[in-house]
Amino acid sequence: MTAPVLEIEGLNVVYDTPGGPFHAVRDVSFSLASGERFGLVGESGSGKSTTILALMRMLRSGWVESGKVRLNGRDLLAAPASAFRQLRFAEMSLVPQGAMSSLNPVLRIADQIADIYDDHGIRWRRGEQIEAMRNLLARVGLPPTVLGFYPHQLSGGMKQRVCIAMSIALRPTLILADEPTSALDVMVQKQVLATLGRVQRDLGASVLLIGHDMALMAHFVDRIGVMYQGSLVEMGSVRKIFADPQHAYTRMLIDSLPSFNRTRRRA
Amino acid sequence: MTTALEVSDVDVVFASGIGGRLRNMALRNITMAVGGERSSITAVVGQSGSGKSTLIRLLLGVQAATRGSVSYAGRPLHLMSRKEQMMFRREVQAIFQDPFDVFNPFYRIDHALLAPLRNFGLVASRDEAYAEIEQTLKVVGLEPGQTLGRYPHQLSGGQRQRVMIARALLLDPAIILADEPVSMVDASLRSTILDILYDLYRVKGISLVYVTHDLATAYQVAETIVVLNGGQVMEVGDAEAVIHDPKHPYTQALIAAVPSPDPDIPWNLEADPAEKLHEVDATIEQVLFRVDPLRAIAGPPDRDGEKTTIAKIQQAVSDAQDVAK
Ligand SMILES: Nc1ncnc2c1ncn2[C@@H]1O[C@H](COP(=O)(O)OP(=O)(O)O)[C@@H](O)[C@H]1O
Ligand SMILES: Nc1ncnc2c1ncn2[C@@H]1O[C@H](COP(=O)(O)OP(=O)(O)O)[C@@H](O)[C@H]1O
Ligand SMILES: [Mg+2]
Ligand SMILES: [Mg+2]
Repeated sequence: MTAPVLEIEGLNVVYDTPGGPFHAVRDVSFSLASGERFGLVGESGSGKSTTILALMRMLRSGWVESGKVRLNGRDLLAAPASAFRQLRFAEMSLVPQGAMSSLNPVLRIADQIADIYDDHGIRWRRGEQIEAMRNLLARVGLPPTVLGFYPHQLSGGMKQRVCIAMSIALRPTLILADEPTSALDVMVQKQVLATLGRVQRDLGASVLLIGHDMALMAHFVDRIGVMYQGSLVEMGSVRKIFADPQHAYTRMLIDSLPSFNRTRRRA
Repeated sequence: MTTALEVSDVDVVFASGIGGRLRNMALRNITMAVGGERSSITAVVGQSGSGKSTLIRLLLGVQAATRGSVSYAGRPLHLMSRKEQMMFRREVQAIFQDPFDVFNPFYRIDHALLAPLRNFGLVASRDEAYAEIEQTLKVVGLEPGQTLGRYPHQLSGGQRQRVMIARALLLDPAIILADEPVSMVDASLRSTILDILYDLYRVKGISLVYVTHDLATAYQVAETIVVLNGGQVMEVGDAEAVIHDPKHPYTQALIAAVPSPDPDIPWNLEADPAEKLHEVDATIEQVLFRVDPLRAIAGPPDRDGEKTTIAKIQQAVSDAQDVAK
């Protein structure tokens, strides 16, 4: 068995709030194998985003109180800032919550992608960079013309694909995706999720997908972790979680799913 | 018997570009009814941009029809007297996707609930208002003591949406128009909110229009489902029939896009639900043809067959339910 891509052990995250320190993530531990898809579910406020923002060193007014995080065997929390910057996008990348609105409105898509290459000091020969960007967009099912567009010229689904393209620009081993489809309608949601699945497979990367829709998770990930009030209360394979949920909250998540076999009418 | 809100052969066109030369038909050939002899609960389903919010705004009287008319209790909205308008604005209430937009962040929740009661002169005193409010909050499953006195940001998205429903209920409406009321609410709380809406229909006889992009939640509550695409109706019919035997490729695509709650039922992620849609061109005019007693699907106007409307199918579905009882 190969070593895990990501290992989190006893992670605790605290925010500074006007009412005093707020313990948002409590003693969370899990790991991701190479090529694995792992889903983190839970209601809003349960600490899902905080967990991955901690990994990305993107916490605002918050800090990691204790815990260990290893990415491909390396101690992530101890890595100096310069080393960490190199690792972002290259080893681990994030499609942030509300990613569509995080695109820079005044930069063409080409320039936003080029920024990632520049940040990592990648030098291209003439014409190579544009070719790389075209290939990148093709991987997420977008035509090369998108490179010349500004974000407002794209639909929600297209913007989300651009965000996925940016996250894989440097072929990371781990993609963190925070509710990448929750602002999209069901049809576009399926297309975007399929895109994420395809690039994950092509790259052989692992994916940590955050969401609150158990049905969607069930059809995408291998294993699910359920967060409740900052703690990881349950973890297991999709089949095991659905067949035999242990925690009352997990049961509620599953029981409340709408189904084409059940309706309030005639109930 | 409730008052009917009726849309008669309406188009809504948005013009843009130089001299308004680009015409975007946000709604086309729409004839439907809300309420009437019997209360109704109708879901309108479609992708983003299909015209759902335009339809809600049309029903609310804040979006003018380019062609056709909208009337309430038999009176065209644009011809109503001030007094009739007052009645319309009280009896027809709306709930929107993000309740946060509706609340003023600087006022306590109480403000959003007191204001409409006062504006319509429905209460004689503050005590009477609070008695009404507390009772209504309980109807939507909120504890008054844990809701009143708080600020909007101190409530969860699901709680805010319930407050919005309570706010509508305080005015004793005949009709509630709900535009994606659960799209921004946690999946686990959606069914609770839909249950509340369904009970308003069943217990209080309030007629509902429920707008969503998700056929699964539409099926939870609606008796009639209307499938909208590019401003036109692709399919309309009894909820059971539309879900379990969809006739139009667009409806089939919407159903294929919904992940089953059973992980063992394959979803086939790689199969693009929109793949079948190359034959669906929403820019060509379509009209509704009845394909069975409780259902109609879109087709070109020159085709043979019985032409019908959403309103007629709604009526047939409603009649069939009376017979079943
Ligand atoms: N910058 C912040 N300062 C203070 N509290 C925060 C901050 N960000 C998030 N929180 C709180 O931390 C908890 C977890 O939030 P979050 O990780 O965003 O949850 P989720 O992603 O599961 O919805 C919530 O109670 C939230 O209000
Ligand atoms: N006020 C407006 N001005 C111009 N175009 C509009 C306006 N409102 C909606 N539209 C257009 O009408 C179509 C339907 O939009 P909408 O009713 O918001 O769809 P939905 O709610 O189904 O997403 C879209 O093409 C949209 O761009
Ligand atoms: Mg989050
Ligand atoms: Mg809308």
